[in-house]
Amino acid sequence: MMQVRRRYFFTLAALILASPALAETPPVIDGFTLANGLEVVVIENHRVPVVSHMLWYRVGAADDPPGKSGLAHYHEHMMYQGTARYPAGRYADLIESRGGAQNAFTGADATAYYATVAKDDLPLVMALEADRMRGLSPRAAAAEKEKQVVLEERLSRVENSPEALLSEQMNAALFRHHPYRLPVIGWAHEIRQLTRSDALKFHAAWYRPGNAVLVLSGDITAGEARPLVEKYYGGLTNAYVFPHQWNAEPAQSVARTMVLRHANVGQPVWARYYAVSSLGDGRKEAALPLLMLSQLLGGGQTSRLYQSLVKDKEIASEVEVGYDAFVLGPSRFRIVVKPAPGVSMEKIGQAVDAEIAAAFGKNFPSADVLRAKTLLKAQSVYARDGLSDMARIMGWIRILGLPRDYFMSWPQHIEAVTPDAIADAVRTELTPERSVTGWLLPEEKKERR
Amino acid sequence: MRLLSWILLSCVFSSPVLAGEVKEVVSDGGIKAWLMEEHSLPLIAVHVAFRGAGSAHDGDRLHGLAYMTSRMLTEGAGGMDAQQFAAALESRAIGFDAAVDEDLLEASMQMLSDTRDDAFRYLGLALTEPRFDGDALERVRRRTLSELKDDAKDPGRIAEREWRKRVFGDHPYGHMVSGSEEGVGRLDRYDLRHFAEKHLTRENMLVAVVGDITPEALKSLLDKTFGDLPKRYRPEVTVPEASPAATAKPVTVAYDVPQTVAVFGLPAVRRDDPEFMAAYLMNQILGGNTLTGRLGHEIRDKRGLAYGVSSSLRTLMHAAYLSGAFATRNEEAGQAAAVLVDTLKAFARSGPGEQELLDAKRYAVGSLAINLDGNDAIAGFLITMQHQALGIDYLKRRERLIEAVTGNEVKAAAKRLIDADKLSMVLVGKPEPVPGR
Repeated sequence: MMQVRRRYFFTLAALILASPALAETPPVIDGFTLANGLEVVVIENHRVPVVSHMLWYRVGAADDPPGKSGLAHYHEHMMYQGTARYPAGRYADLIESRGGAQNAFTGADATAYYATVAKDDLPLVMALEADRMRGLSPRAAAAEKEKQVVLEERLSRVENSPEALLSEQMNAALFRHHPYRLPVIGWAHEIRQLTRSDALKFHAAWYRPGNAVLVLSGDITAGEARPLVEKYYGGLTNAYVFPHQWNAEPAQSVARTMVLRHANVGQPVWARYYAVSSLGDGRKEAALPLLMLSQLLGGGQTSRLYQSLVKDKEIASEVEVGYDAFVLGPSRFRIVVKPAPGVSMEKIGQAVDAEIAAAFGKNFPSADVLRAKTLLKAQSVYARDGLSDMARIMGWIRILGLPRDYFMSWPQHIEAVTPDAIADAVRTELTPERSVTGWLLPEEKKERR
Repeated sequence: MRLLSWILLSCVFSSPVLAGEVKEVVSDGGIKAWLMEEHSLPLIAVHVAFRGAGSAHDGDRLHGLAYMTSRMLTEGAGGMDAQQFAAALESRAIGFDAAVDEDLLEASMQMLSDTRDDAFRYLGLALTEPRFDGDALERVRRRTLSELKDDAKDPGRIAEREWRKRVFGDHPYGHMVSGSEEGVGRLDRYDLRHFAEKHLTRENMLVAVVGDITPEALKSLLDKTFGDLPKRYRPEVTVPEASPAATAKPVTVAYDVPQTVAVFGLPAVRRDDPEFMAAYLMNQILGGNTLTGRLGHEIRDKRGLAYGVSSSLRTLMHAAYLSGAFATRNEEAGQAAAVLVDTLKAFARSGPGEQELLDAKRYAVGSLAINLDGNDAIAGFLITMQHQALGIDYLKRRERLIEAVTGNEVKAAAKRLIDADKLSMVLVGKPEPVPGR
């Protein structure tokens, strides 16, 4: 089956909810909490007898101890290397041999393990996840081998790609002190020093029921889920988990520029990151205006930067803008531009700065704002088609500490975003002092002497 | 054992999607569409595919023609230029995109039910009256050339390009789907219009619709939407049957990256071959899943030599092959390639174990049911079912077909297909030691 690109979705890593005007039944979202602190969210979808079981832990790369960047991610790998009860590889074997799909991801704020299985296999998944929450028992050789796998992963994702190398450096410059400066996968020299013991200590410190949120999405009700969750997770003992101990970022006070020249660059890249507010940090009321702004500035053909740089001035072949509102700490507002042949980096920078300056104090046309709101709202309906989007959305809502019904009240929040608030966000958040600009260029041709 | 395995399989679960009705809807004008209704959400997904409209039909001079045509379908239609068309779709939250592979050009549209009539109208316009405006073409060309420039420096893309060239040579499958800088640079709007008129026709069209729409409503939309397409499919390229050639020994393309990327391939069997299901399960066991396949087990899990390693079966209209990839740091890449070849040989010799086969069958049955959880995924699969001529009741029959495959059949498939003499491999990087045979 051919993969077809989604053009109009996923430009925004955010939730959009059903506007009351849409005539559809709202999703049933329910939940409960066990005595040991495990929180459970249940989203009903009875289209197919399948359930997506997504277990979120409130720990991520931002919690890597000093000198041990990559530990949260390495620990994610170690979760597959055996427990007292199930030997290495058994987790994936058991789930896939039942036709299930499973995977995991580590982010800066959270780590999530998800398996989608036939409804009847839900007890199996719960047994496995409760078992590895309880504790890990990897062999020394397996721990060492898995470190090599992580190093290969780093090579694939970062070191084989000049663009990824620049992005990693830009993050480190954008956040000087906050742990978001660290690559989630870790710096290579620190990955090499990680030990099995590091992973086990990390597990004991963070992997507790009171520090987890279980999201069930699919053919299940809260009433059905409760006895199962009690049976498999109820016996786990909670323990105190330290709150995140993250360095606060000092005030962003200086514009930074970075240049990477690399032999393997085909198409040069101009990139700008701003350290900005999020739903979890800073001026939280600026988060949704920033979300709208990312759509208005760079959400496709009708967006401001595309019109100006690609269509009118013809100085770029592509523009991409990204912003994630669902972040516990400061977020990034990213602008990435592919310059047209022969166009200098300085020219791109001037053009982008001019468009941002034009958006200061001057509102976007109301037709544009309406279109952006329509798109954001509709995504809530689209998100309900299938199981995994809802599991992810509700997970992030709870990781952010937002109430479960935030999903239903989202349309009001989106409606409430005014053009003035958007202009205000441009003025206060997209300022040079908060920015890093990166240039990715081919190696300079050496002069012949 | 056979009875036991059948019972175990049938206990997987039966999804209403798999049991669900796929209806054929035929308009008064004779246009056919496959429909699966789902009224629990006000959403509709539509996929329209054209067989024999992929990159194999680019012709010798214009590699990238099909790719560019697909990209231009979203850049204006009827009386709307690119921006007007984009604004019209965005203001109704309609998603629209088009892509190609070697054989198919496939457009897909996502809509809320209450925008249905507008959405179908825009879809029809995009396919029957694409504008191919000069300024839009220049923008899309610039973007595509920029991506091709990147591809020329990306080790994974270099590996794929070099592998295709060596195993298919001058055959229409021998170039990258996205084309070349020469081809994309050379084509003009008349080339695109010519390609569309010959290849986007009623004769080679497949339509799949899933979601909140009744057969009656769909029937009334089909003629309006697709009626104006050219009637006859008139390809200009004849695509001969092909089989990927072997490389006498692994080919190394020296490139300065820290991690070597490798692509390998073997000839396989066509979709309508009686041995296909056995070959499909064979591939599932070999490398269908990174963590649980033979290749992943030997290369990643036992030895930590790679993060990504997998294999898949491709049944194109004129070729069938198994291909896979892995990436390993240069110092270990030679060893990884050797382990790959050893693993293939061992599998060819002994085939799968009983449990391995049972697990693969259950995965094959269950994973499809799990993946078909939403309109878009189902619509895409309905296109595959039409394209590969699997029959409208395939979803109901598939489990039995899988269950019926015996261990001996899979062993025979492995012996026949995993032939070291037919293996092709290309490595890009600085692998040590340089693999030979």
